[in-house]
Amino acid sequence: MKKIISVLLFISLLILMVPSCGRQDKYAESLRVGTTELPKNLNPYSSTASSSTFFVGLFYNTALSSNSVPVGYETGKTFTFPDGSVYTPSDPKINPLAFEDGLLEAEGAFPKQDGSVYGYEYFDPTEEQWKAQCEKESVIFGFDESGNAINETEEEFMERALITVPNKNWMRFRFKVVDGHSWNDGTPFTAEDIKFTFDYIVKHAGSLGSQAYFLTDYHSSEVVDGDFVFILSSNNYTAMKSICNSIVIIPKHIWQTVRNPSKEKNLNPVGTGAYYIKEGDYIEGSTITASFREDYDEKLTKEMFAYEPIKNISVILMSNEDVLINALREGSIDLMMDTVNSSKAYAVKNNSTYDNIQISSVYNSFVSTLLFNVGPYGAFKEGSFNGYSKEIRQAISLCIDQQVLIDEVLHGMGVKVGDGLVQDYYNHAYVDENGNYVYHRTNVEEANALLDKTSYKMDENGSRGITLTVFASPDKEVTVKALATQLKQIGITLEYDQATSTYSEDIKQYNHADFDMIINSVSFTPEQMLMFDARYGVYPSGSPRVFNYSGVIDNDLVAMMKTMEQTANTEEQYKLCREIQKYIADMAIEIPLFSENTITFYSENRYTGWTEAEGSSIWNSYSIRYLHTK
Amino acid sequence: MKGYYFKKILSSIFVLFIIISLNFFLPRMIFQDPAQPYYAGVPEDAYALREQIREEYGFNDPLIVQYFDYLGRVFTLDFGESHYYKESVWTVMFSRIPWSMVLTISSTVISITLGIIYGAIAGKRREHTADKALLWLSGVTTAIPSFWLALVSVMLFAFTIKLFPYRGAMTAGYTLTFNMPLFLIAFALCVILAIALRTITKKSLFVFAGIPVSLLAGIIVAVPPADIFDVAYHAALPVMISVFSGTISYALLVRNSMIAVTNEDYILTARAKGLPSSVVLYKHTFRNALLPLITNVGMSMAGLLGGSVLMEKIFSWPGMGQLLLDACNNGDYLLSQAILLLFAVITVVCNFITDLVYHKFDPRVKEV
Repeated sequence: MKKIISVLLFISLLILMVPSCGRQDKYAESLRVGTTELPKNLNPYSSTASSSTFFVGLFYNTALSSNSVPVGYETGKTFTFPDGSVYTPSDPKINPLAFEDGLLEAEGAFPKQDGSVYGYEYFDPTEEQWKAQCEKESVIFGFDESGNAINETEEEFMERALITVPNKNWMRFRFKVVDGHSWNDGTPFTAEDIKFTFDYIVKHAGSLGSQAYFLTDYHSSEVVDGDFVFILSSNNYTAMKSICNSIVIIPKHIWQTVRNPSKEKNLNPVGTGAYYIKEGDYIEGSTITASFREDYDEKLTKEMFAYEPIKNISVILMSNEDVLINALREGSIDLMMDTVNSSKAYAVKNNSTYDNIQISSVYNSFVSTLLFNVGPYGAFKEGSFNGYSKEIRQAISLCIDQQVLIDEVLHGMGVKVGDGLVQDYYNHAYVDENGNYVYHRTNVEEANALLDKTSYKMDENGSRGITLTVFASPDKEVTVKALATQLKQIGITLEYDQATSTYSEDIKQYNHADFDMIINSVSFTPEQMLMFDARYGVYPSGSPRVFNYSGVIDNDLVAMMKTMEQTANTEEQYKLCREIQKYIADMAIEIPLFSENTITFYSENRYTGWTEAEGSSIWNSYSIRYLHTK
Repeated sequence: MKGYYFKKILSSIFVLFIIISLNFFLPRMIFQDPAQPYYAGVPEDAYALREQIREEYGFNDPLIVQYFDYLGRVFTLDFGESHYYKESVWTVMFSRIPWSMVLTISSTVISITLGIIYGAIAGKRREHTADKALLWLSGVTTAIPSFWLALVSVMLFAFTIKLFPYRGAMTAGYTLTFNMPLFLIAFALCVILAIALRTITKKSLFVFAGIPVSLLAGIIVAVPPADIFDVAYHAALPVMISVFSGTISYALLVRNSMIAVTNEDYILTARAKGLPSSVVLYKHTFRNALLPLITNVGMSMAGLLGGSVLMEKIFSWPGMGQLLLDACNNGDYLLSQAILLLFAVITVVCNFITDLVYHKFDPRVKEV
């Protein structure tokens, strides 16, 4: 008995003593964010990891910004935020791409009004300007799709440059710089910094390729009376959106001495954002804490935060996802930065132990699709299946029931998408003559009837003798199996072909891609309408573009996409976009399956005001604005 | 004798050469385009930009040229710069090695000590409770994967009874303060003291214990006590999990070896001579039973730096295992190559040392 009591006493003492070995967390009161991967550097241009993007958003600003619609907002109705303010959507007629002020005033992004120096205007470039742009473009287009240099004669080069660089109807934008912005080291912010950023990226295009790509249509810029003036070498308004909304602006006085930007760790970032990193608050492999700038402009603070800004935001590394979820449940963190898949969300949702974890599940701009290989080496190439390739594709499309897939694969955490591959909430989505969004249609009888007209008749075992494979990564296996069950109804056997690490290369048409079908993912938001050409376009040489996995070569479609891209009038552009969607849907080369929601876990134990925004995780500009301690 | 060492050195060099070559060719067989990680966001159809990057990093050179270039860099110990960390590979590795060693050295030392004690008891008292429990526990540790045990322990000890922290090597927001000059002074003084004691007492104990004790003394002097307690507190749970399976493994080895040695003729002779049973046990049986342990410890030395990848992942411990995992996930070619090479070198060197030590301790090897 004595021994047992002694052991119990020892254990009790241990339980009391051991935790006192640790110490009080320095930032116990901060907003605590858990992540499975901390950025190894804070270079604004070097990483696409979610944690890097998170910090870039805290430290830096873009020239312009755009806000998404809060979840729950219904067109024509009012939406009230936690502080009582009412959401007002931007008028697409005067603000087509929903711009808001960033470092520049959004007014300059719209056509010039009478009497205003701000806004854009069209002009024809001089011969020198056009030649300079052609030279710049040739850097990117001087190689063919296999990466080999194109040896062209001068005439051939000129001919190609004429296609890639328009020689008329360029755009000149003039913006006013927003007052109050400054760099966190106290240096004033000026338009010179924006000009420096764009020119610096173009100069270092080799190491800053992902940013330089946004600047393909950027010709030059200048500072006039403190205003920022820049020239776009096309009338492609969406290219301007990418430039102003995607590239974070860096300080000239810091980066002008950096000779190799891709190797810069930038652990003490100097930015115009509301947060900065104090000395010693970047702890590699452990935590990064961002602190609110005490010198941040009062007017900007009021615009950005509805309540007292959160003083410190600590991002803590927890490499294991299950540990992360339990830390959230237990209250050690307030937000899980990483998005989670629907299976994990389903498990947490249906386990009462995790009741204090809030789940944000909002739509995502990406659409999962079933893509057919109609390229020269694919199963669905011209003339295949005894000439019934299109009928088989159409029958497969008719057989697919999106709701069943959403329930079986996503546990209900996804939405249906129309055959135009653009979700119903976008203004440019494909609608019928009555203005109604056209959803994907399921009709198994019709699918069977269509196949009955082909040479593939159903036998007594319910098979038509067609066996197809879907080449997909292991995480898509469940989707393929769910699809296989549906296709059995029309006598088609579907098999799963597991993709290896060379998957992305294997499905490229220039590598003689010989797959039947793949599970693909596409996004055609208003800012990404250029992606239509990327997905279904061809190079000047006539071969499919690198992301044109289906291998479709259709000159009419190419012409339609070119016209759409060069249309500056947004309404007209959307109209053309809808026609393109209908055209693609009729070809039946890519069938929408569903759009999986973006799912994030958070807790309301200590902070409240979390606001969901369409297309974003719970960590968005609205949450930053309305988040406050309980 | 010299021939034996010479052969060992030659074979070690040959093994290292093979490993170095595999280290170059294997990653190039896994990735279709070895330059892929360096593109980092460069659009797929920006061919000219990609070409520029390939040229810059030498991926356009013939494979054989790249191989000899790599060999040249290995022999000059130039592993280049990690493209993900944007620092020299050496700097990145050296920032992680001490953290791995905290976990692995402490768990290895504790495991060996406890394992020897438990194994000796079980070996001496066969079929008794301790022995039966050891056999049962060895079945348990073999059947239960350590990462599962780690996850369950985190849930129980960190989240349920909140006895230990669940992540990191220190409390969030803190970094280790390390005073290098103080460390060097304390280390040097202890080494001098050990040499002096060895000279005076002629006991080899001071040679074996000198270095680890000096290191420990240096650390105690160079690191503030609050930091030491904090690290120890964070290391407690992962170390305990490693110790659990390690102790059972070493104990089983010692126990089996004890049983085998007990049946040897020289033990019978010792008993026949009328030696006390404690002398037979500790001087003859136990010392000889420890020989297989030398091989086992030698083999596991490489793990000292490699750490346990899964353990470090679960506890977000900033060690070499986690670093290797990150390097592979992010396609950080140069870093993963250097880490694997380091592990290989340590393994080869440790095997070589084990051979030498075994050679010294077991005269039968000399005869062979």
